[in-house]
Amino acid sequence: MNASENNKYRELTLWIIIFSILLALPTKLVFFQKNDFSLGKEFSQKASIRQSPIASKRGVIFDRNNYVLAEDIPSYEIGISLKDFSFDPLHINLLSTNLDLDNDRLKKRLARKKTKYLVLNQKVVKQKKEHIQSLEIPGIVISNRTFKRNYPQGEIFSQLIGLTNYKNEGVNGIEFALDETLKAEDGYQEKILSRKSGVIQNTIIKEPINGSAVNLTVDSKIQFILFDKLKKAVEFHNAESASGIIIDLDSNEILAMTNFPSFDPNNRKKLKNMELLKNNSAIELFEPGSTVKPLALSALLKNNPELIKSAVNTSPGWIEFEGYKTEDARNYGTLSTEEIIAKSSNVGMVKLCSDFDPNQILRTYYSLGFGKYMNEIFISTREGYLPEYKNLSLREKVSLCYGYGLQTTLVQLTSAYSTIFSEGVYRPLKLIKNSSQFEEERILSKENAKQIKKILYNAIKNGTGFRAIVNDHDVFGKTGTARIFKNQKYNDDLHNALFIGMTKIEDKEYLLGLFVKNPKINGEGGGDVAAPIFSEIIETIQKL
Amino acid sequence: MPKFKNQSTLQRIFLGKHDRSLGFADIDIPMLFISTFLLFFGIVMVTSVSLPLTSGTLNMTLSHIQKIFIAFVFALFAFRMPMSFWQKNSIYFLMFSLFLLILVFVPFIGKEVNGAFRWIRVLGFSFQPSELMKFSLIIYISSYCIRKYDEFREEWLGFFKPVFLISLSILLILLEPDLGSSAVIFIVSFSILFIAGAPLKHLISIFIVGLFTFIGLIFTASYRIKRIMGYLDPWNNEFAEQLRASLSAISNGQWFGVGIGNSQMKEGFLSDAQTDFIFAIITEELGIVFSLVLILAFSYLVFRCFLIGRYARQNDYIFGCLVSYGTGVLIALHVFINIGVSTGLLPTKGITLPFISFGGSNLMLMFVLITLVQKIKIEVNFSNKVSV
Repeated sequence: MNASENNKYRELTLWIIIFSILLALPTKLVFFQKNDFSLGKEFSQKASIRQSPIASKRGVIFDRNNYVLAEDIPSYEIGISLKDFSFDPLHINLLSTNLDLDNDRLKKRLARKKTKYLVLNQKVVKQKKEHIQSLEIPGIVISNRTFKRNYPQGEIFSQLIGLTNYKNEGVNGIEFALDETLKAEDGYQEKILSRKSGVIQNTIIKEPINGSAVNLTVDSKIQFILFDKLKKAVEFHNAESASGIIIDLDSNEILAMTNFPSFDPNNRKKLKNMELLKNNSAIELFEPGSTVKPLALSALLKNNPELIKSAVNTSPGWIEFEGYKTEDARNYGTLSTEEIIAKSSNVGMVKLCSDFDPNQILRTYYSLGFGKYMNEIFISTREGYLPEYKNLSLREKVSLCYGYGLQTTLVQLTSAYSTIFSEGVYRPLKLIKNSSQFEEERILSKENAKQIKKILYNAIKNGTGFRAIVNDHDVFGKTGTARIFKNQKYNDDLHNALFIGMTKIEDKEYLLGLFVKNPKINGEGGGDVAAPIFSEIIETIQKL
Repeated sequence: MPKFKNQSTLQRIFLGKHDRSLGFADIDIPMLFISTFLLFFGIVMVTSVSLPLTSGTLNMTLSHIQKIFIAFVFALFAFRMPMSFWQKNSIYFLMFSLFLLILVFVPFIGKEVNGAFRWIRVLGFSFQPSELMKFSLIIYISSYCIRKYDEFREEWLGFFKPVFLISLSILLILLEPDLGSSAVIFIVSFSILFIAGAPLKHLISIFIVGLFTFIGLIFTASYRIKRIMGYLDPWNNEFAEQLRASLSAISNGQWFGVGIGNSQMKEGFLSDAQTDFIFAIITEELGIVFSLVLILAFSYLVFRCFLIGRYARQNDYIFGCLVSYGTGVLIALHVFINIGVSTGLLPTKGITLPFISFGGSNLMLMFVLITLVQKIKIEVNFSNKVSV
């Protein structure tokens, strides 16, 4: 075979190979159309349909006068498209200042070359968004209208109202307790990318369900007054903290419930101390000290109404039980029952109690609400502590009468006093308007309650609570100074100052519970620290 | 014989001062027709695909037309030059191409796209030297095989001289890295050597070396292995998203397509839709039946190249024969790889669809090569007329 002949065959071989591989293409196409066609169709449908959520609004929380305490407001995501961003240090500075970002960290994030889009803040409110738009920084992308929880009243309500998490679920306070009512369900829509470019079809698959509103019994104005006075008291006495509750005795509705220090729920970045999330007025446990004496007396009178007429010799100002000394501030000599409460005599209470069955006292305490969760106000509460009857020593038994050996919360203690001022009928407190009614129950006889109320009047007028007096007003109440049990002992330098008091303003009875933790200067007891807060609050409320 | 007789102005512009006038019989009309059709069809498809990418403006279409114009100027130059010019100067073209392939790695001249150095920037235009290399190698190998006809068929050294230069070019392209173009260059060079009559044992040995290098290179780069995995299971593999989108586009099109401009997958679902995956959009918009016609058109173009190659050989014009076959094989490979990848016949590998895909370098290459093939036919015809 000559060379030319050889080349002819080679050409033929090349023709065959090249046209065979070209023939593979139509074969594959037809084969694909027959077999994998449905898979491709399914994928293209999936690819062209984009599901996206439709934001829903969580329920609004109102106070009794329909002032907004918590609501969802529109928010926007602000990000940078790095392709269009100038990386001008001035622009970076403007962004970090306006969006509360760390300048160096932002620079580092911008330096990561792999990202094309950087989210700066997912929840920016409208005003801020407009401000950032006005800066006209190139590359800024504003998108995704969603909602952000806003608390217009700020720190004065933060512990009571609580917070929501990034999923807009309540995590504490009212937000958590009433999450079922408040919560909203996002809807979603399917965006079908149309075959004609630019046009997008939206099909709403599920409408968003907004949350229901909740009305609280609290009054923003009164809450503000309470918060303001507590704050001043903490600063004046250099105390650790203070809590307060104000109740409208006509309806037993809570008008105010707050604590200081608090935090700004709208700026959570500043919230470093998680203890501040706690609503101390409902969950901080303490020994009630002398504030429990009127309640103890009511238990004693329940068994022996004649006791009211008796007199007790408290000389020499102290008494010893099982090696422990119980003392009064001074030797008061012989005191009537009324005077024992007014002077807040521990010795007197010990002597009155020592002959009684402690079970009677414990039962009364329990029926007044001690040792029980307060489910009627929905928010988290603590049950406190009441000792078990059979384990009580004599010393423990008598200390129950002057407020040691049991633990309570401010809301529990205030609720117990409300029973006395409601003529002996226990009426559950209310925090939520239109919430289902809990059962009322008579705990003390009318007569008994009246007697205690009179004693409480005397305790202010002639006793330790005189600083709570507001001119022209009848004030009823009791101070308390409880030593703090710390490091396995009661410390003489650490006290809680308490005052529970009631007065009438224009036919409306207000019951106040005040608790100041460990005041260090300008007085230390309930009479010096807590009682003056009462009169200040009442004076201010009067002016409303 | 009077010179310039019967020569019109246009003929003078296109042909120069030839002593023979150009008749329709001299040009390969089917080839001219098909390449023109593909070109105009390319403009239509680039417009359709680019509209969503350029937010409704014609920027990309205008840029494509601009590139066609530049390619046309190059093709005109190629047409004016006698074939002997290319045959004589092929080694300089090869050297120039090698120089440009090295320039790709020089900062400020070379341009990096997705981690690969395949482009250089000249006067505001981006250019792929590997495309020029395809052209240079075709004319260089063809010319070498003629010049050293006996040496190359009978001596080892004579055979391995061109093989060395081919290997060097492939190595530089592999460094970019661009395995697809390397493979194309290898097969085109191999085909020319085969047609030129290189000894079979030499051919088999370089084929085996080439094959093993190719397989070795696939398994040394993780992204290539991922592409192979995606190719084997396109519907479930996370790395096969582009392939899935391409197959979906083809499914959407069914037999007769969704209509031009109506593609769904071009709206951001299929990346590189204007270049390497334009076939998927063509099938989606115009249907499988039209795609089969398109494949037929490309095959016919290859067929015409081969036919001219055979015609040249029959007239003992071996350089023209080799260039024509080289061009035919190059077009066939581009079409096979591009459409094969879009339809899932081959693993994903970006390569352009001749005359249709957006991109200037490949357009220029195809224009110039097709022009040379036409020129080969004309020169063979002229030499026949002269000799008659």
